[in-house]
This record gives sequence, structure tokens and C-alpha cells, in this order.
Amino acid sequence: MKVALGVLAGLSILASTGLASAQADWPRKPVTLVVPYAPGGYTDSVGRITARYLEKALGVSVVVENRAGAGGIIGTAYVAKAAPDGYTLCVCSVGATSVAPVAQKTDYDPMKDLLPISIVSTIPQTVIVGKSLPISNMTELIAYAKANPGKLNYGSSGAGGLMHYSVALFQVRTGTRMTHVPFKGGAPATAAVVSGEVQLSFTNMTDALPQMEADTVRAIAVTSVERSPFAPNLPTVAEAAKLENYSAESWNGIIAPAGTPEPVVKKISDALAKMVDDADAKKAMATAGATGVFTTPAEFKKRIGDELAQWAILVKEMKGGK
Amino acid sequence: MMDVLGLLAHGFTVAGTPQNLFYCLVGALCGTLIGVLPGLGPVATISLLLPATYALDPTGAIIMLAGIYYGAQYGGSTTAILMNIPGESTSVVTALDGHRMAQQGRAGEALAIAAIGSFFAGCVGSLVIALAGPPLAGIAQKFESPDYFSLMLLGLVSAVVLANGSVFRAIAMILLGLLLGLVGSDINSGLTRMTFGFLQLSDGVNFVAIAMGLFGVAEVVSNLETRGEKKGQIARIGSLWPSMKTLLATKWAVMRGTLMGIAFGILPGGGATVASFSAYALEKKIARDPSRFGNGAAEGVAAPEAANNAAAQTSFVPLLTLGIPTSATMALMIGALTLHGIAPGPMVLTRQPDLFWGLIASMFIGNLMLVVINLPMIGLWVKLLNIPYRMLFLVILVISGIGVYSVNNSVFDVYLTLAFGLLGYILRKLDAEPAPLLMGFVLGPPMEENIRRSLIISQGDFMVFLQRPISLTLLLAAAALLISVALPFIRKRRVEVFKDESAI
Amino acid sequence: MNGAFWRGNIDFYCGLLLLSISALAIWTVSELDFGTAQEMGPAYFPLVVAGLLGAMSLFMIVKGLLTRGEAVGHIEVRPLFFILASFLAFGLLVQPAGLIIAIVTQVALAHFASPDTRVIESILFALGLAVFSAVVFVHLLGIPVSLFP
Repeated sequence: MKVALGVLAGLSILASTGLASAQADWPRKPVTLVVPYAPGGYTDSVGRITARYLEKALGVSVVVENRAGAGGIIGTAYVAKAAPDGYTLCVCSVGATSVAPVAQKTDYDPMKDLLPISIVSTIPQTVIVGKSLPISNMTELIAYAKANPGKLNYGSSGAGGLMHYSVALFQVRTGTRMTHVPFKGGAPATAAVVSGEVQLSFTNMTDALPQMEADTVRAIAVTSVERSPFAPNLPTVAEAAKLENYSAESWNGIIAPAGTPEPVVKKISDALAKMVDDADAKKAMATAGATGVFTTPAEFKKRIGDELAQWAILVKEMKGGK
Repeated sequence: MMDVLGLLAHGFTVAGTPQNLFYCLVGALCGTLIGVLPGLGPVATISLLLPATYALDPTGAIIMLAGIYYGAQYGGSTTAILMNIPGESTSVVTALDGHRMAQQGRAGEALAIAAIGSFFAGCVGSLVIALAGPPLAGIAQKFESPDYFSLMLLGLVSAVVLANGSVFRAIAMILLGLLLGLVGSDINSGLTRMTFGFLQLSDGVNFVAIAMGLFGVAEVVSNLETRGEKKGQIARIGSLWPSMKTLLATKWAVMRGTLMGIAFGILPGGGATVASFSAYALEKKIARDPSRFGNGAAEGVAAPEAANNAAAQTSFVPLLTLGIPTSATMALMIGALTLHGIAPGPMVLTRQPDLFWGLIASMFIGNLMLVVINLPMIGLWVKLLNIPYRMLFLVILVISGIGVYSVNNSVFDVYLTLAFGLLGYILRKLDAEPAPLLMGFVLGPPMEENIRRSLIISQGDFMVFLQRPISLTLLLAAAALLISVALPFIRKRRVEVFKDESAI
Repeated sequence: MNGAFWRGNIDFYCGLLLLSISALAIWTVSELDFGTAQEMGPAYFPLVVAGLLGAMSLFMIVKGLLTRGEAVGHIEVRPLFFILASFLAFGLLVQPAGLIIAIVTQVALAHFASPDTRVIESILFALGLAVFSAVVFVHLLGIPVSLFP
């Protein structure tokens, strides 16, 4: 153990003396990882798993700081304005990065003010329906919704969140109409499906899995492009409802303020590339219902761009429809 | 029944291992510390200490985190009693009579009653989880939006009862609180309301800022102002311990508080707050001389403290049996379990019996530790009050400042505290009480959320509140309580009116 | 008119305060959608609450004008000003100047809030509280705030 530490210390000295520029020295002090949500949620878990791994990989402490508020906008805006020195990073999520900028006003432009490094985890949504409903697959859901317009109530984590927009998109694409019942967060919305207060929701896999295992709800599909390893029997919405390109997937990714030096971004990116195969991180992600993922900064940026375009169309349609 | 005892015995062998006892102690100590410090609540502390639990096994980790949570409930009453700063919505009512007792030189008595009441309630609460956790969770699940709305309404009516002055003013203060509670994002539309462009307000006004401003800061200002008239002066400290007579007098108050805490604690969203307010309201209502309340009534400390501690224990029921968090702290517990590789949900009981029963057993042990830690501390706390006020107020100010800052690391919250300190001071001058305001503030958002959800689901039919048995019962209780509060007031008013007329 | 009106009484001022708050609330939400009972808009609930509060405050004002009522207590400016200023100073300084300077400044301003304070005691308490906060909040609890500039 001591030897290993010695070697590590020696290596790090070599590394730091070998490269002259201050950026290449990175990291020399603790790195702050901002979680733009309250502690205890799903993004918080992913943030802490990532922080734990980066601490090992980078050899400095990585401090998780919760800056919750306004559906992640406050924390994300904070990071967008932070010094681009690699010491302030964000565990951003799809909501504040790809949905909020088109649905409401934000202080940052995700394409200009943020520098995406890598998605670290994705989590599909699961379409769950109450056990008392005569619905066991997507075709039946569409048929039922068409026969009873406005009668089905769906729960969401609040207006403008992914749980709301994924259903809104589904309705636009299938020509159905259901009633939106917002809750304060995803967990109570899921609980309402269990108790029967609402009939369905497109809920995070994290919240859905325990209920599926206990057989208190009926899961009929996942919203991701591919089937989820956590529930391989569930078809995707795209295949089951024949909706090409339908996808609503929650992701969490490490994002730096725009202008962060290239060598720093590369170091973080390299470390995250290895995290995908790390056994501990994998196991922790799996319990959270998430899948560990790695993307290059370019892939990540393109994805945000695509999503912004997709939700912009939906927001336009929803506003036009009213 | 027998196998529950067997399982509980097994739980004690899990919780009784030296390292788990140690984690329980660490949790209880941390909890007491942050409970005593105003501002930083269990949510912030647990998230700060979460990384420290990575190295522990899941059972040890959850035992420690739970200890922080109920430890904070013990500690929270200390600041409320000594300095009139309620750090949590559940200790607002404790401050009402507790602080009066402290001013009368009965701080030791108040603290001891709070600790003993909490201990009793904590043990009964844990026993209830062990014996009836799953069926209770089933009842909690029967609550739907209309029932929650009616529950919140009952809570607001209780807030009228706890006011000392005019009922009319109390209702006005509740409405002001409701209005303040509505600041921030509207979950139904995603739009922000009444934020005046401040992004920091988009999640609402921070509770700690408003409570600390209205109670703590305003209290300091008005105490300093009345120094000459020695109003803020604390009387000579009397005995440290409550007399046997006082203890026995609070016996039933503790029992009733415990029952209310157990019943409301299992309900998500504000259950514990409603429990402590209603427990206080009930005591005041059934007391032979209600005017003692607000002037240092021991039952006014015993009942709400028992209620909030019982609720702290039973709020674990929905978490452990259904995987549903009832509060921000419980959401954090879910996060902690997830990080330790356990997905909380209906299966925890069967798949992780060690964790479930170990945790429950640790609650008994933790409560015992807390009462052992806290009772000897009372002497120390009371000594703190011997510091002359010209120095003590500096302590209160500094701890409030850093305390409110630490909640969200937000300077904005410090300014909010300042603003509410000013408001609190003005309200004091106008003889308007802040406690009903805080109750409105806490219950406003869930009230709006549930009435809107009820009406969306019922398609605009208000009858839904009367058709559901749970909701109807709660509404009737609220109506009965309101009438019983208003009647003596109306009668008194009529007498006053006649007096005025005869004076002319 | 009786004398109570000119000095003002607590009912009158309390009503005035609440009336201005509810008017402010009504004004800020007036642009938002009111909605219907079934689909309450974001303005529905706040408007109902503010409307009730406004009505009650009008009643208070009228009562304050018509009855003699209790007069507003004496307001002393000194403690109010210095306590609020000490909080403001803490807020302004804690991030740029660090916790130690913020707390010392806070205590220094609060010192003037009361005529009873003594310089030596306040200095000792300022230092003691700064050290205590540094140890408990920053060191033990890990609040992310720097101690020095």
C-alpha cells in the first residue's frame, strides 16, 4: 500500500514537472462538482458516484455541492458563469440543458455557454399503468386513450419536466389526449399510479423498478431508443407503438463552463472513459436504475443540439394547440 | 406478534454490534449538534456527511443517517426553547411556550420535559413501526389529493387555535403566510409567481430564512429595545428539573402528542408539521385554563415535542415499506440507500431483513442514547442563559447568520432573513403573531397543489371533498374546531361591544 | 375625530401593511392565467388568498379609524438599524472576504445596537465566535466557504 502510494506520488510529481503550463497541472486543488438538484435525487446519486470515481482517478478530492432550484436552472447557470479553469464542473441533466432553454427563459445558452464533456449515465423512462386498468401493452393504451379522450390521467414531476414532455410528445405523435396531473417530483407521481389516483405515468426507471418488482404497477414499455438491460422484456415505445424516432431519455453528463482549456477537458474525458468499465461505479449506477455511458465531447454536444431542436418543435405545437 | 418480537430481537443483535452502536452514537451526536445550531437542518447535514458513509456497510450507514435525523429533532427544541429560534417547522410551536418558560427561569424544566417527552414518543413510534409498519403504510396510501387538502385545512384551523390574541388577526396572519408560501414556481404550469425577477426565489422562500427572521432576529431587536424595561431579561434560573408534579401533569399531553405524531407522521408532505401544531392546539383546547398557553405551559412543550419525535420515527414507514419518501430528508435516505446498492421499495422488508429490523432496533437504542446525552447537557444549556444578554445576543446573531447561509450556501437567504427580521419586528409592534403565519407558509403550497390536483381529477367537481370519507371526516373536524374557537371569541366581542356602548 | 386616529393605532397600521402586501401580490400575479375551477391557473389560488387578505385588511383599517384601539408601541431606531446592518454586512462580506472578516464585522456593527455592550467583551466574543464558526461549520460540517479572502 505504502509502495503504491509512493509510486503514485512519484508519478504525479513527474507528471506535474514534465508539463509546464498551469492547465496541464490540473488538478492541483479540490474540484467542485455542482449538482443542480436537491440532495437525494437521482442526479445527486449519479453525481456522487461520479465524484467518488473521479476522486480515485484524479487523486484530488472532488466535492459535491448541491445548488438546487428552478428545475436545475440555478445550478446550471452557476456553472455556466463559473471560472473556466476545470475546478467547477456540473453534473447536468437533460431537463435544464435540453428542455428548459426552449421551454422557458434561462440565463445561459447551452450551445454557447456550456462545454459538454461526457454523458455519464442514461436512464430510460418506463411507461407504467395502474393494475386496475385493462391495458397491458402500448397498442391497448393508444386504443383506450382514443376511445376515452381526456379520461386517462397521467402523473408527472411537474410542468415542463421530462415526465410531462415525453407524454406530450407521445400525444402529439399518436393523436391521443390525456389529462396532465402534475406532482411535486417523480416519486409522488409514481406513488399515485400505485395507489390508483392517476392511471399512468412515464416514470424514471429508478422509481419504477422497485414497484415493478413488487408487482404494484404494470410496466408496458420503455421510452429509450433501445431496450433497457434492467427490463429486457419491455419493448421500446418506438417499436410497440410504431412511433419512429420516439425517444425520451434522461441523461446526466459532466459539463464544464465554456472556455475550459482543452488539456483539462481531455483529462476529465479520459477519466470518464475508464469509469464506464469500473466495477464499483457500474454496480452503483445499476442500483440507481441507470446505465453508465461514455460519449466524446463532440457527440455530447450534437446530442444536446438534436434534443433542443426536438423539444423546440414540441413546445411550438403545444403553444399552437392551445 | 411472536415472530415480530423474534425479528425485533434479531434486529437488536444487528444494531447491538459494537460498530453499529458506534455509528448510532455518532449519528445521535451529529444530529444533536446540528439540531442545536440553527439553520443547518438534517437535509443539509446528511448530504454533507453522506460521503463519510461510503466506507460503511448499508445497515451501519442508514443507522447513522437515521440517528442524525431524529437526533436533530431532539436538538432542535433546545434552540427553540433557549433562544426562540425554531430551526425546523416542527419546533415552531415548541418555541411558543418553551421560550416563555426559559424567560421565567424554567429553561431546565422545559428542556427536560422536551427530552423526556421525545424519548417516550420515539420509543412508542419505533414500536409502532415494528408491530404495524406495513398495515399503516397501507392506510397512508389510501390518502388521495382531496384528503390531503382537507388535512391541510385542519392544520390551518389548528394554527388559529394556537394564537393568543384575536382570532381575526390570526386568520389574517395565516393568509399572509399562505401568500408567502406561494412565492416561486407553480408546478402545474412551470411559471414563477411573485418572485420579482429573483431566480433565487423560484423554489420559494427558504423556511429557515423566514423562521429565523420572524422569530430570531425580530426577537433580538425587540429585546435590545426593551433592555431598560428588562423585558428580555431572563429570570433567575430556578430548579434544573421539573418537579414530579409537573412531570405527571404532562403525562397525558405526551401520550396524546405521541398518538398524533404517529398518525400524521406516516403521511407524506407536512405530516410532522401538522402533527406538532395539532398536538399543541389539542392541548390548548382541552385545557381547563387555555390562557396558560403562550405563557409557559408545560403541556405546550411536551405535546408537540412528543408529536414531532413520534412523527420522525413513523415517517420511515412509507420509505421502508413502499419506497416512497415523505419529506426531503427521506428522499435523501433513498439516495443514501441507492448509493449503497439497495433500491428502497416494497421488497426491502423481505430482501433486507437485517437492514429493516436493525434500523428499527437502532431507533430504540438511539433514543436512549439521546436522552442520556441530552439530560446532563441541560445544566450546560441553562448556564448559557446566565451569560448577560449584551453578549448572548451577539452569539444569537452570528449563529443565525452563518446558520442561514449554510442551508443553501446562499447570500440571498441572508438578505431574506434580514427582510423578514424587519417584517417580524413590525408585526410585533402591530401585535400580530408570527406562529400562524409560519403555519400558513408551510401548509400553503401542499394545500394549493392538492386542491388543484383534486379538481383536475374530479373535473371541477367540488363535491369530491365531501364524497370521500377521509376528507369528509377531516373537514368536519376542522369545522368543529373552528366553531369551538370562534364561539367564545364572538361571545367576548359582544360583551366588549356592549361595554363600549355603555361607556358612551 | 378622536386622538387615536391621528396617532394611528395597531389595527389601522396592521391593515395598511396587509393591504399593501395583498395589493402587491395581486399586481404581480395579475398577468398570469386565472384559469377555471377545474383547471386552476397559476394566478387562481394567490388571487383568492390575496383577495381575502385584502378584504380583512380593509376591515382592520375601518376598525382602526372608528375605534380608539391600542396605539403602536414606541419604535427605537438604534437596535433595529444596527442589527439589520450587521446582517447586511455579513451577507456582503462572507463570500468576497471570507467567514472570519464577515463575522468580526457583523459583531462590530451589532456592538452598537445596544448601549449595554462593552468593547472588550464584544472583541472577545467576535474572535471567539469566528473561531467557533470556523471549527464547527467549516471544519466539522464542511460548509463550502473560505475563511479568509
